[in-house]
This record gives sequence, structure tokens and C-alpha cells, in this order.
Amino acid sequence: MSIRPILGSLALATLVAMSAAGCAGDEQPPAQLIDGTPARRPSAAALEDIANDQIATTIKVVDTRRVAPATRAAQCLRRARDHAAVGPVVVRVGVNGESITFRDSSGRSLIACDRAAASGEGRVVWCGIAIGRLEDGRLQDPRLDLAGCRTAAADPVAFAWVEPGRATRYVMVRQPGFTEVYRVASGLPVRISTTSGIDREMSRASFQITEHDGDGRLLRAYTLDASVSG
Amino acid sequence: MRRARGFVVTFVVAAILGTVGTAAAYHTRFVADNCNYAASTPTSYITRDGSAAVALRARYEGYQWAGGCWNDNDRDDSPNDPREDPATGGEGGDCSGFTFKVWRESLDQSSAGFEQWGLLRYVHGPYTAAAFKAGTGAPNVTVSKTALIKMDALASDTHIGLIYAANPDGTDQIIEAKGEDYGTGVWTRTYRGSSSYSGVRRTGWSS
Repeated sequence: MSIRPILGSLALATLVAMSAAGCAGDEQPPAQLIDGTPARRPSAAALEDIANDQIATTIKVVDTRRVAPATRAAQCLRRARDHAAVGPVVVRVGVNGESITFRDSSGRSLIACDRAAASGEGRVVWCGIAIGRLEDGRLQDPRLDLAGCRTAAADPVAFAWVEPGRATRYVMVRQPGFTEVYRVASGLPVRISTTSGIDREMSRASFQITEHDGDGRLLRAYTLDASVSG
Repeated sequence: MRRARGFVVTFVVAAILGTVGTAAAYHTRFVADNCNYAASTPTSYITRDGSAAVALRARYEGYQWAGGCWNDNDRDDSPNDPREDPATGGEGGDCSGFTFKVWRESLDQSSAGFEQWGLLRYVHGPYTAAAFKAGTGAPNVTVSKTALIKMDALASDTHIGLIYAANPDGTDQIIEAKGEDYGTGVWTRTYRGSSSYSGVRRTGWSS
């Protein structure tokens, strides 16, 4: 993993440029999330330096012991049964991807199940699984997953974890034509997804990210470069 | 006395800063100096024994997280890289990159064809161990562990190794990129008996 910071006044210029590029093209902000629910703007705070094309991802946090049996979360826990889940299970739904994140009982691993539009139903809903190693509670690698997940148009969807800073409450990921907003929850890394910035030749993906505090103030802007590994 | 104490403090601080600087800036020149990005060569005839020969050339070479480039001089040219850092530029593949290259797979996941990659071609491929375990990609299928033969794989969500030979006691000689502390080689392993591991096969071998 590498993080390339976009510093100082460059942050604003870069973000404006990225937003302008999105607005000037043919890309239209999507009307719905991957689960068919309408795409909405985030309501909690005005996010500094971000264009008005924000889409809020949805988040649901469930205690491991209260995961309903017939849900996709339950299916993920079964799929990852080698890793006994403990604590909160965070379910995130975005435009191109859905993910579930939880810790295992050893405290040394973080587990994710990833899903995209072209994932199946029934037994094979999840198109990817990621296991991250925690050292002193920190994730060692963002665990890029770009092998199995596709959009309905068969474009690859890349997933990775972001480890937000302590003061960060929102993680924004720039996409072509819109910006996806993820709320930080339960002290867990945030599983993000994208269909842009994927380099299939090098098995890498770059995510354009900003982090914001609870009042929407910009804390940092950077590019997360992640590689398929392990 | 005060001057001596000042010298000691300065020395210790300098030593600590020197260590921190070294760790933060660790990298080798192996990839930059040796590896290439040449196109792969499609190849139609490939046997399991041929693939094993390719795998053995990686033996005693290094291990590199997210890597996929090695030579054939029977030593790790970038020993003791920091773990789980893809940017250290060292020699070797990781477990899934090694499998991808030895199985001669394509970067196009919809293609089950064989691609010949040079040893010094830096390539990892799109699959993690977990993706191999799930049989992701056109060339890869899951197989019962009792049906596994030479150059099939045993994969968990975090590791994958290739069967070089089965031992009479139910264990296997596994050829694998094992870790930074071990490099790449052949070891006797008990993956077949572990519930965390599943069988995976690369399809399309000539024999």
C-alpha cells in the first residue's frame, strides 16, 4: 500500500479539478445504490471542498450475536466461518459495491465480504472475501480485491479498506461523475469500492480519497495506491 | 561529566533516528534493476511436469509481498524485507503471485489460456489466495481434496501452495512462496488435512 498525500492548497485545486472533470463529462450521478434504494445526498454535514455531487453510502451496524439468519450478513459469516466473528458487523451499501466488515475473535484479523451487481444470488452472493492482518490494532495492508466482482456491465469493481485518522468521521471516494461518502463506524476500517483507477496489467487500483471531521472540515486528501497481494 | 553525558544522549538520539530512517526508507533495487514488463507469450502445450519445473526455478529465491519477479541464482537477493509492504522492491513472488505465474495464467480473467511469463517479468496477477480458493477466474476450479494431484493447489483464505508430491502419511510436499522469513521452496505441509484449506485446480493441462 502507498498513500500519496495531496497537500495544502493543492488539495482544493485537485478536488475542484476532479469534480469539474466529473461534471464536464458525460457521467451522470447514479440514481440508485447497488441494492436499488435511491441514491441520496449526505445529510449530516456540509463536507468542505467537495462538489455537490455527493452520494451517501448506507451503513448498518449489527452485533455479531444478533445477525438475522436469512440475511447476506449471515451468509458472509458462514462463508468466513474459519474466522469466528466478534463485535460489530458493519454492512455498507454503495453505488457499485456492498461489503461487510468484522473482526475475528483472535483480534488479529479483519474480514470482509464483497459484493457487486454481477454477483449471484442464493449461495454465491459474495464475489470476494478479504482477510486483513491487524498489528497493534492497525491494518497492515488494504487488501485490494479486484478479481471476482463485476458491475452489471461486466466492468471490474475494486474493493479496499481505508484506515481513517482518529478525528475522521467521513471518508469520501471520488468516482467518475460523483463522490461517494462513507461514514466511519465502530472503530473499524472503512471498506470502499470503485470502478475507476483500476490497472489490470499491474493488478493495482488507485482510490482518490478525502477525510473529513464531524463538522465536514477537510482533514486530508490523498491517493491510496493498493496492490493485489497474498 | 556533563559533556560526556551530553555526548551519550546525542549518540543515542542519533542512533535511534538512524534506525527509524532506515526502517521507513527500506527498499531494495532488485525490481528496479532486474525486472521487466515484457508481454507474455501465449502457449498451447503445457504439462504439469513443465509447470513444476518452472516452480522449482523459484526455489531458494526470495519472497515479496505483492511481488512476482525473480531470477535463478538460488539465493534471496533482497533478504529480510519488511513484511506486507508491496513497495520494498524485493525479489520473489508472494503465494498467490507465485501460483499465478507458475500456472501460467492470463491477466484476462475470462481467458483460461496459458501465458508464458519470463522469470524476471514483474507480474502478480489479479487473484489473492482467497480468490484462488473460491475458484475465481476462467482457468481455476475448486476440486475435492481427495482428487488433487501434482501441481494442483491447496488454498486457504490467506495462503496457497502447490502440490509437488503427496507423501504416504497423508501430508504433501508443497512448493510455495511461504513468507519473508522463508522465501520460496518445498516443504512438507499438512494443508490437506486442514479444514481451512480447499482444493483448487488450474484447468487445461496437456498432461
